[in-house]
Amino acid sequence: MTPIEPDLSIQNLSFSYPEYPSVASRQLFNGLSLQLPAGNIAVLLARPDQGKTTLCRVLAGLIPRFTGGEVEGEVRLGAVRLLGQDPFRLIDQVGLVFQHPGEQLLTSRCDAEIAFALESLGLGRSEIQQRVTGALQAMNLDRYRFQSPKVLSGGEKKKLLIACLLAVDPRLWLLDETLEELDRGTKTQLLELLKDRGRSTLILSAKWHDIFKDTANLIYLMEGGQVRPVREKPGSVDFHKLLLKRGFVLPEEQSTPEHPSSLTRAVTSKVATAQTDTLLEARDLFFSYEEGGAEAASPFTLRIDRLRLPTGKILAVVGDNGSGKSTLGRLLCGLLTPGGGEIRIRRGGVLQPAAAQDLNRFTGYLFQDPDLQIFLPTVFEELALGMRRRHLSREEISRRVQKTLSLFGLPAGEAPPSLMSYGARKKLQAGVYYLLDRPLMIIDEGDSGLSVDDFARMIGIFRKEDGTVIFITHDFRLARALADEVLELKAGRLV
Amino acid sequence: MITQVYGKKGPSAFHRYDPRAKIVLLLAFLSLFFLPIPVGRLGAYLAVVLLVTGVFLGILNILRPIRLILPILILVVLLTPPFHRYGPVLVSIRGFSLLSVPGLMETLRLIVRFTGITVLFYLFLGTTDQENLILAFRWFGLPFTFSLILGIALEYIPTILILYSQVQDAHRLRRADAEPVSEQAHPAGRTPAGGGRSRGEAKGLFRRLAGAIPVLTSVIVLSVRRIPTLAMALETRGVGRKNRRGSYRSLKSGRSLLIDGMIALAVVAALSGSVVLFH
Repeated sequence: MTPIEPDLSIQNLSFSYPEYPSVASRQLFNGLSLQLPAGNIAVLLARPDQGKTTLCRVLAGLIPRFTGGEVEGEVRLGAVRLLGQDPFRLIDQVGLVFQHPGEQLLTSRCDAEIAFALESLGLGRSEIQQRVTGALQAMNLDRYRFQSPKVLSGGEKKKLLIACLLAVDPRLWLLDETLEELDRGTKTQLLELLKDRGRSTLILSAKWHDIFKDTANLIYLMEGGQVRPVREKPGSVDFHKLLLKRGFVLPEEQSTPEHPSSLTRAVTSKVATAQTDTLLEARDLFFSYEEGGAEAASPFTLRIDRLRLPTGKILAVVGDNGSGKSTLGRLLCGLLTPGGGEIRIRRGGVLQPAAAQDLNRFTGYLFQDPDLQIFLPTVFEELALGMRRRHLSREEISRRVQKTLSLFGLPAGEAPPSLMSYGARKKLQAGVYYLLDRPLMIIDEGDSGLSVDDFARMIGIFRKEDGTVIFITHDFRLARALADEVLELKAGRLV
Repeated sequence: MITQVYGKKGPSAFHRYDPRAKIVLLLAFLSLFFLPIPVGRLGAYLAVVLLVTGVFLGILNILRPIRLILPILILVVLLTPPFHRYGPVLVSIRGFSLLSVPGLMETLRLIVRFTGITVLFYLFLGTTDQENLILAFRWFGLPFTFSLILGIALEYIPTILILYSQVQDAHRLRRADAEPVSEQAHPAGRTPAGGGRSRGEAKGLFRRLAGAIPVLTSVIVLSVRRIPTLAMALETRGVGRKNRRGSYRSLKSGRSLLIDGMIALAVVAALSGSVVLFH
């Protein structure tokens, strides 16, 4: 396919959200400019809270349409002015994958989900069917064709949304942290597809992925409401230093108990002194969604012969989308009941069989979607809830909340979580469980939407409180750097 | 979860039955439950609906929708008799009528009506997916936006219930800490932060009801928060465009529609006949 000539041009973009009660208006972009030549893939690196999602939504016409706020400047895609356009008029020009995939899914069948926008464009039936089939095949989702998107894992939902865009094939792709939660194979496949099609692509990420090195034509940094191109060559020492300084990568060297790296030292410093008692053990663990009575009509089964977690250790669970990582996490915290096998936890120095309720009390589980665990109007209320239930004094609650705000780098206590960025909401979710002080923390895709140093800091905080941590990720490099042990799941089995 | 809410999707004859004919049957049965006919006969119609549901979705599945509306049925039982205290008295305390014959009849009527409507929707939605539903509405000439809103609204019921289940999980994990915990539950004698202890929680139904309030509140908050993102999602898929909408697929026409339509009309005729005959 011939690359389309006109490019994305953002000139002096300024944007402020409107004032909300207790939240002053803040200028998010201030004279932001960016040029993306046609057919190029650009990576825009930014730490959480810098406005990645807002920028995507401004370009897609969703902001300020749905949020209000003041926007100024000039944004063009070729000859088309994007600012002020209705989003539905732009769907063949600008395609956006939301950071939180569950929010963008509309139908009860995967094929219908892909067909939806094509129907809106008024295409003929045979063409729609052809494009739907092609997109499902390209994203390896054929087997889910007639299934509800609701039964897909987080990563698979993202793959489905990518398939939706592949079918429409807009000239500008906006990928808002889309590579998070995708397995390496899918990331590679996606970027190669975009390169082959010659589509202009803007990838927004809080993390540097190695795959960018060979696929991205341009790299930008966004901070302080502005964007600047990175002049350093990817792979060079200077480039690596820059990424390291901004917290987009972990140090090159691998962390081992004997030779911890500088950044991971805080996380792994306990290794030498950690107890080696088994904190949790699972034997012959079996779960089937049908047997377990959960939603999936798919025949997915998880079978773990033996899993041993020593006290004070960090275990990473990696694997492709839909391999059963979250299912394992939910079994270990008692939210799912195994169809067979046993989970034992250490109580009073002895390993004892644990029922679901015991696991609920023993384990903290950070859901993949932070919004399912955040409900209250302010950060303070959210953090204080658990302590209020335990009837701690007002002073004690206030002291602990202040400490947690500072530890996790959270905004002020009166900030409303619903107006915070996705990454900040993840930190708040972690803060809530930090205050619950469970012996075992399970963090499901906690690195998604966070910079690597933020995530490493989060793991380090849990570790320092004598905690044992299991974190689920797609990032093998991160897993190797931060964990004492890495487990890989493939189609519900340990590799 | 979808299958838990609306019953198990399966390859039964009613699952394959044409959704347009199902809509006709749904409307006919719904009208029936609103007609001023004796309670006994309403009960007979309800029995037919329950039988059909049991046959096509499984006997145990009949209980699911009834369980969902049980709190409302309890309220009906408690609140209806006091408003119908005239007529022959069945139960009274010191001359104060607690339950009269008309009160009992009205309570039964409301229970049958409410159960019938709920089970009908359960049967209809449990055997018809959202896409077919939208196609059926469009076949009847309803505009796409209207069909989409209906489809999304109906699909939103299981979505809310999924959300409820997820939020309940989140609350269970957070609340577990405030419940009495033995020292043994924490290795090496660790106690929860602050070493605070919860007061004993009330047990039984009250505890469950009290526990449901924060979950319900959270679900409402999350649902409201999702409205703008749902609107954004719809517009990024082209909802709002004025051009003629394409169609990925359509419902089958021809012989199968004819047969299913004839069956639906025959059932509607039989229902009308029974109403007239026994009037």
